[in-house]
Amino acid sequence: MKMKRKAHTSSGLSRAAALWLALLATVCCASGPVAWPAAAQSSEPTEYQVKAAFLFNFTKFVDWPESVFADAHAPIVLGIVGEDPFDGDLGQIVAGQMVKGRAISIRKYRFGEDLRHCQILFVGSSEQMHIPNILLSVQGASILTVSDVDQFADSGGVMQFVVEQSRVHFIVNWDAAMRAHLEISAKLLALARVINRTESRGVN
Amino acid sequence: MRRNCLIILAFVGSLVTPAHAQQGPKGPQDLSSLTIEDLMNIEVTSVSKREEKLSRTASAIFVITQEDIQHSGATNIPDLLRMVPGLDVAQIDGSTWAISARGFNQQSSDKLLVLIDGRTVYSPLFSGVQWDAQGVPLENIDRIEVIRGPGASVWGANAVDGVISIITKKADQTQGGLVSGGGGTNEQGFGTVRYGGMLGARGAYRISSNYSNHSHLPDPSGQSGEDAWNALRADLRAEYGLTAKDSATVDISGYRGGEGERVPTVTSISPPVNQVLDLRQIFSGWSILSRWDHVFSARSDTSLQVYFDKTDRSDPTYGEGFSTFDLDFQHHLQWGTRQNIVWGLGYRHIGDATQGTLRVVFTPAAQTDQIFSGFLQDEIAIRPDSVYVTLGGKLEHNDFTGFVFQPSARIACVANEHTMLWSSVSVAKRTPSFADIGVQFTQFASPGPGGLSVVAVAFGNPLEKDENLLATEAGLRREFGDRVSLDVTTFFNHYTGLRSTEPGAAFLESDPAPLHIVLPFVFSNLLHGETHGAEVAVKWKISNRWTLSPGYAFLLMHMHPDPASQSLQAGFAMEGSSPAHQAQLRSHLVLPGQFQFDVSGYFVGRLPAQNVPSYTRLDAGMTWEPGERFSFSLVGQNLLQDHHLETTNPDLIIQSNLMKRSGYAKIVWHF
Repeated sequence: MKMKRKAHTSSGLSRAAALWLALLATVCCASGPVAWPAAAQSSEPTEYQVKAAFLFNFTKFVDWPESVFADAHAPIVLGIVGEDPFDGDLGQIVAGQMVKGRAISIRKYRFGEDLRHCQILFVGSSEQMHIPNILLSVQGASILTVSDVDQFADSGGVMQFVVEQSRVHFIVNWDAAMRAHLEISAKLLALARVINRTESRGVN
Repeated sequence: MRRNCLIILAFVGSLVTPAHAQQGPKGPQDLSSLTIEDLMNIEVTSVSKREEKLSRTASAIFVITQEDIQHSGATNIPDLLRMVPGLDVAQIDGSTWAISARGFNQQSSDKLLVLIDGRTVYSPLFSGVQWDAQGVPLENIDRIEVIRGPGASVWGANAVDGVISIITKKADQTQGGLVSGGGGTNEQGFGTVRYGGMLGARGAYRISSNYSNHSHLPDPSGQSGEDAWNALRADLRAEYGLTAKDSATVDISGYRGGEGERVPTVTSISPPVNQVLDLRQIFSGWSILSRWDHVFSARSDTSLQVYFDKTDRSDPTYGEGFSTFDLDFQHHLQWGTRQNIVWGLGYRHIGDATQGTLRVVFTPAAQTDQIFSGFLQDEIAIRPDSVYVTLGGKLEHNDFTGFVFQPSARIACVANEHTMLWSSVSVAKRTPSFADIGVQFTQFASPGPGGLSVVAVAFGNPLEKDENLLATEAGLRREFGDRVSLDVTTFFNHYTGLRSTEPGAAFLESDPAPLHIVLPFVFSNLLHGETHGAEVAVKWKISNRWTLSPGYAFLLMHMHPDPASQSLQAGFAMEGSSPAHQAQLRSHLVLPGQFQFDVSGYFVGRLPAQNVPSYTRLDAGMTWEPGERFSFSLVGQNLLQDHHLETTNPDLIIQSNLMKRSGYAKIVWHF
């Protein structure tokens, strides 16, 4: 790109703005569908596809008090607060699935909305700064809070994903699960790393 | 100008409306039939969360992550910043760098705000950053967020062309011990020792210390540049949860170092003698910062931060010491369902004392500046989840130029899950530094008429005004499938009142003796101009083992003297001191057997005003991580050439040396 030196402002300014607009137009044209190399296709599951499948599995191994559902057919609501890392995969995994006679529906929240109308709440990493607030706002509600943000379980979240040696593991904060009146099956607990376990309450 | 901005906003807006639903190319994996045990055995591609999300931020932001730091082979923060498209990093000598965004690069680059954990580290003396004193151990850094373009509506004066925010890890993320160390041809020896522990059940602490020793670089004639340097630093951080709603953080750091420097200076007025002296500069400093965060509810929280920072620096020609006290309050609240508000109040007191010599004197030798500020920013969801408008402004009062108002308007349009467009219009100002007001810098002496010597002296100007920027930016972030992401930014900046040096009327001076003629150059605000350009950053995960990150930045600068100006060269000197083209390619390859291979190439275009040819820097590193506790790496830097020049440093503060090919080995042990 070759530019002549401009003598002075007013014309230079508008020409520069024109150049800038042209650049912008180029940029925006690039935003149309572009054929990218085939290497961009992937076959093995991504981290968040696996985590989505975990979330689906949790619905099978966690029992909520019946009172949280409006009726016997109300769906299990899987909430996502913050930016959704699952890229539609969670929707594909739960589509058409029935767990304990209930369908599963997905609901997206923005931080600041009332988060208490779901059974599982996945806290996206975009909300890292708001985690204390979010946990505070669902206190007392029977919600399985899940996140992959560091220290989430330590800060009072019920479950936290951790990736160790490229495999997805999860931490359960026993005390937080108890406070939320969640019954987590022994099978799931056996696979988890359990923290804050108070033995006096026993395992079901 | 205003009309252009409206057209651009309308243009961006019109592009956003057809939100074509585009699905990622991946086939639906039927993972729902797998058991938890099966799922736990699937190997996943672990990608940084930060890279994955398409940030909603309506500004040109680039985040250097921990992975980027590990893969870069860099041993200091300036070298890390080379990976940010649109930043210009030019190393002057072993311990000195000129770093700027979008033009105006020089040793005293003064339009970039740099923060470490919320503490500003630019020198109030010249508004630039002494990078040798910012040697935070790279192992402690969580991420570096770089915003090109103004951040003044929140950060205030001096966040003109960019903000670099260095954020260290929280203490609870650095539990246990770490020892790392190494050495090589240029980095002769470096090491970090760190230990982190818990403070009861609700708190954590970390203490670390690091040291580095660097050899001489060659000077332009190939001889030793006499710029070897070393620095020792210690950091302490503690966090404590006071109650469920309150937490406190304390950060203490201190450093001390010494460095060789070649100083061009006048050593005798009559007869006129200009020499380059090999001097040694000593620098030291410490700071303490504490912050109290309080959560009122899910929709409202506050933070109160206070810090004190002391910095000293001296060589035989000059000494400076300044102290900064800063108090900062911020309140974030959600108002209704659509508004996200942040407002804050700040107070800063800066005191400085200098010791001058024939070479450089400050008048007055000691002075203070008080800055009062308040800002308000409101992010409004015009259409929730798709259109956000952010309006903000900061009002400041300083002792030199009085009230300064810096507003901005930004729009972010999330077209679909994979595409985001943004645009902004903002005003930013650089307030005068102590040097702009009161420096007297003797540059050279030469024989003159009647046997009298003529001495050229740059003078600060007590009437120096703010430099002003009106910036218009637009950008696009887009993901192509799972593996390619693109970030493009374009900008058009209009500057007025830029600092120029105007020749004044020559006068006779007898102190210092003997009688001589002074040819004064006085700082004024008689330069204006436009810059425009584009920055592109791409990340392409070719496979699970190989990632390529190309980047490119283009910059055009047009500087014009005001009609009243007599400084004819200033415009060209500024235009020709920043590269028009910069390009880079970084490659990260995971090899079998726990090996990783990284290569980074950086092309920097020529600097016509400084006669610096273009150069390409190539760094390569091999890392072996046999387990989680150990890693070994071998790194080569500047591999393509024996040596190259990055700037001739027209500021005349110190002489520049050449960057040379070098290598080092490093070992890291976690326990």
